[in-house]
Amino acid sequence: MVITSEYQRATTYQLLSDCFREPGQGLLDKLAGLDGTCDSLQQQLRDSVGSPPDMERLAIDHARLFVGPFTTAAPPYGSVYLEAQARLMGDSTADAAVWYGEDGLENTLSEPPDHVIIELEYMHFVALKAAEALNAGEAEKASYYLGREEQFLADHLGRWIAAFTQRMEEHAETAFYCCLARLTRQFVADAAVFSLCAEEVRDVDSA
Amino acid sequence: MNRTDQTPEPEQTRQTFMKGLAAGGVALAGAAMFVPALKALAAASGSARKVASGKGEWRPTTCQGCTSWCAVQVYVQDERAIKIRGNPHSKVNNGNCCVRAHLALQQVYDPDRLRTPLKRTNPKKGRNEDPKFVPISWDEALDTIADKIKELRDNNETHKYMLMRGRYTYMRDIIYDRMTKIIGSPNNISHSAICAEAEKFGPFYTEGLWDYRQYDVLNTNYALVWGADPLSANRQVSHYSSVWGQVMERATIAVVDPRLSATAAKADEWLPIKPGEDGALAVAIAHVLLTEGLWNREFVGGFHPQSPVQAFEAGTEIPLEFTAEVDGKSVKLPTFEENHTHGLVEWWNLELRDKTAQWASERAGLPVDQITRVAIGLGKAAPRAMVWVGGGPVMQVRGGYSSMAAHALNGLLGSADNVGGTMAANKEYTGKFPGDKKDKKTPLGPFLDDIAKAGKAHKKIDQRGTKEFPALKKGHPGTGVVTNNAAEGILNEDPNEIKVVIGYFNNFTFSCPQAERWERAMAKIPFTAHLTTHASEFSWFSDILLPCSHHLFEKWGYVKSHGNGYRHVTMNQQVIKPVWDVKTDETEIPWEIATKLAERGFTNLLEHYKQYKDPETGKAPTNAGEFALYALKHATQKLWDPEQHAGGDTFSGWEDFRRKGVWNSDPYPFRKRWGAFKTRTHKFEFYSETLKHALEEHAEAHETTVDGILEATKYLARGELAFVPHYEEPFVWGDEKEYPFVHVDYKSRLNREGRSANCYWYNEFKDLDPGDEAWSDVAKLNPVDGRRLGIKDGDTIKLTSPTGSLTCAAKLWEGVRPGTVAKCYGQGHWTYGRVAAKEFGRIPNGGNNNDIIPADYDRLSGATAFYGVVRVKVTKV
Repeated sequence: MVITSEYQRATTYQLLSDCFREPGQGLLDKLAGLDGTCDSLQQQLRDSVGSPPDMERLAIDHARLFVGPFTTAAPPYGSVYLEAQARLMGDSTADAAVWYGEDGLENTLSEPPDHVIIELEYMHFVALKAAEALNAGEAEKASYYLGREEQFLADHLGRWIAAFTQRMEEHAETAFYCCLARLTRQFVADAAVFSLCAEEVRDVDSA
Repeated sequence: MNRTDQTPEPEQTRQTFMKGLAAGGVALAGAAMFVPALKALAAASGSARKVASGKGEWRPTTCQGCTSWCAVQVYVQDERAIKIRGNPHSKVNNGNCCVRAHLALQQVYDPDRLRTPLKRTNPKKGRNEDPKFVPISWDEALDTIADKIKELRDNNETHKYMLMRGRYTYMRDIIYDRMTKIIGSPNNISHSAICAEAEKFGPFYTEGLWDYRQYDVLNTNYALVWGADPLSANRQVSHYSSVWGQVMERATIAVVDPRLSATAAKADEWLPIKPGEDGALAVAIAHVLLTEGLWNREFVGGFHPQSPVQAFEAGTEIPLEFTAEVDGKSVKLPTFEENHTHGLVEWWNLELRDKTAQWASERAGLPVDQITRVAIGLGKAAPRAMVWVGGGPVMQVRGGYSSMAAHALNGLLGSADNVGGTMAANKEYTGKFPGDKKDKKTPLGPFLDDIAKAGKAHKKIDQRGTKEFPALKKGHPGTGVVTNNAAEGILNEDPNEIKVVIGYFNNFTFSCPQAERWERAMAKIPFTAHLTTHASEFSWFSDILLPCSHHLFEKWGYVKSHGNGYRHVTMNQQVIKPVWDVKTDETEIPWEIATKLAERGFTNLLEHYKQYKDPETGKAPTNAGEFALYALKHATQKLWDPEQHAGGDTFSGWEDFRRKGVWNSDPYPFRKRWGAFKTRTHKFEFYSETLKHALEEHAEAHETTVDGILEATKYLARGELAFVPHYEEPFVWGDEKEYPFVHVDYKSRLNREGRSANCYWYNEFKDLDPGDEAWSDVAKLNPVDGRRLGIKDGDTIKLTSPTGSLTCAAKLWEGVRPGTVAKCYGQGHWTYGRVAAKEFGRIPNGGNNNDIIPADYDRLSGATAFYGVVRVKVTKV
């Protein structure tokens, strides 16, 4: 069902956001705890972690890809891919913050607001809000959040996720981050396809 | 957007969606399911809803891209730094700011910037050992550092702690001095000796000024700029660049430099001197000034009217006295009556009399008529004729006396401390922190326990004050740091091993000649914490990395600078909220370490820091942020507090000062130091009693003679020549046959010291430096030499010296003296970010000059030798 899939999308966004954070026992537990009802993407993620997972290798790979020092193989910031000369805190970054503000949110992570963790979390937020609205039959609200979902992909996350995840895949030394790259790219691409435009929702409501 | 060609699953069609909605709700139960799991995002507080106001403001702070230390302003819009300009309130740079300031925007928002504390997981250290850093919390990082320090204390080994300081603000004593002393170590090592200490040597041993000078260019009629490039580097670039057009209109400008610098390119005369022969040119100019009778009478004096000798003649010694009849008696009178100088005739007799322009021409490789023309031009323009002594002629193995000789010309010209000449820094009124030597109210003594006292008493690791390294700072042997030699001390465990290092705002593993020695030294040290904004070569060998605030945007501090006849005190201010969880190196991190040490039972450091009270409220600091701010307010109180005002600009209070960002001194008191120079004679010394005293003191301490010291310090002069400016044959590494080209190092207009290489703009605009190329690191050869070697533009070449080699691109260019190869400093980072390194961790972009420059020194000042010190051979790769 649409609502179920919207809800599923929201939880997957949240899971992906978590996966980009520093790997720790919490994440491993979460992945291990994914039961059989989770979709194939979540299963692949869980399986790629390794058994038993090598925490140190994962931590080193995560640092090399996203944190540094010296350089990051796959900088996890929108502006690096959307603007010239790999800069941070560009105009696109400022725009991402505007998006969050418009929905009554602000970034509290000590990172620029276009960090992939934050953008994925924002997608989780709007997708979940959409699912909630759909579930409650609130068409206008659903239309709004579905619109936000689609537009944020078009303006931000969707525009840079492919380049970013390609770099990740090129440089990842662990199966987990390789897999995460591929799955994130695929998932976001599919999400863009399945976005419903607000018009359709309104048509439905008046039908 | 990537559209897949997967067909949507049946559930996703519009029909089923409609059906589902019409069915009115689904089996998803529970409001809890719809609560977003937000960790990074949070409900915005009231003010945060105003996003993208579009409003911005200019906020004051300071740029430390070079040592101009300009007062600047940053345009901040919605907490983003957008643009930089000069602070119009400064009378030193007057709203001007040079081009390199803008690169700071690419530093603060560099994706390769350090964002979190990290610890090394690979215990092995070496160029080929990936440290495999992983993020840790600030708590874990600080706990680790505190544990290491505590361990030293517990084992009475505090002298094995070392603080390495690179760049700094004047908050530096908090970490560099107080913390090192209270822990109990003598080993606080600054970078000064890889800076231009030898530049201070000449001015001190002539006019008692151990400092950089400012230059009254707007009132001068002749400027001889010697191995300095005011339009590009080093001293108040923003000011000099902004007025240079005016200077060129009124004054003759001559530049001494083996390569055509930016300043030389606009000068009236370019003297492409043979590297290392600066002393020859200097003494010859002095000779010409004297034989032509062009010395300044007011400052120097003149022949006694009754003296039979009334002129300086080449080759002829002059008696110091003559006998005359006065009131029927025979009296001895001085041949030459000096006003504000001392020892002119001795100098002439000992050194100058046969140092003709012809003699100098053969050594310096300059035309006789040019030498004569410049000397006479200076003399005729005197006293509005200055000799601007930069790092080039003096940071050489035998550069001490060149420094004296070149600067002594200002004495002959009467331009020292005079209008149109060279000046000192105006008085300023910043104060010291609690625990200063002269502090009676809050002395340091009570915080130095027995362990600390015992530890501090050990000898320093940089060998200063040994027979071979007099390091005669301000006349006191053994007080000048010998930075690059600390590597030797560490490697040889002489006087002892070093176990725990904190290094801040530094990268000795790149910035010191023969950098590979630092790699070996660092690999030996069991524990190093690097406090920095960007991880670099030094970090590669470190154990803990702490992300620091950027000095231009995120730090509280202050620095002082002078130019345009003023001194300013300009504050570093936090003008944006830092994006990452960074802390300030000189204040916040020491406070945090002090807190951790107190938790472990060692409270002296924290208790000392608590004395840094807010001058406005009297409150003691309770956290790192308050400590940083109160310390700054304390040190600058005489500037902003109307009740303590001592001179210069006035403010209504702290907030007024903070908003303007900069305090200016009173105007320069020309000639105030005439008769009161801080030399032993209080005169401008051509025969330096001051240097004589210092050398004799050092010789006595080492049970030898001054000649013995000169031999140990690689100087050739003996006897009385030691006390006058004189020519020394250059000491250059490498046999001329095997290594045919003398290496000429220089600094770029875009260097933010050594830190620009990861900025795109640095590379994009590198051709701003005459002869250089964008996106390349070129070694420039004169076309005559290039063609002979069969080298073309763009060829990959290797420069090899007796101590190392580097690879870079070749460029043939006429602005380079034949027999030399000129290459800029700043590139060649093998680990410093995606732009700086070609293949990160392996292949640098360009080459690091310090890989070919040997670790040698002007031992009299302790300065590292960068210029006229090494020959190379050039081969195609």
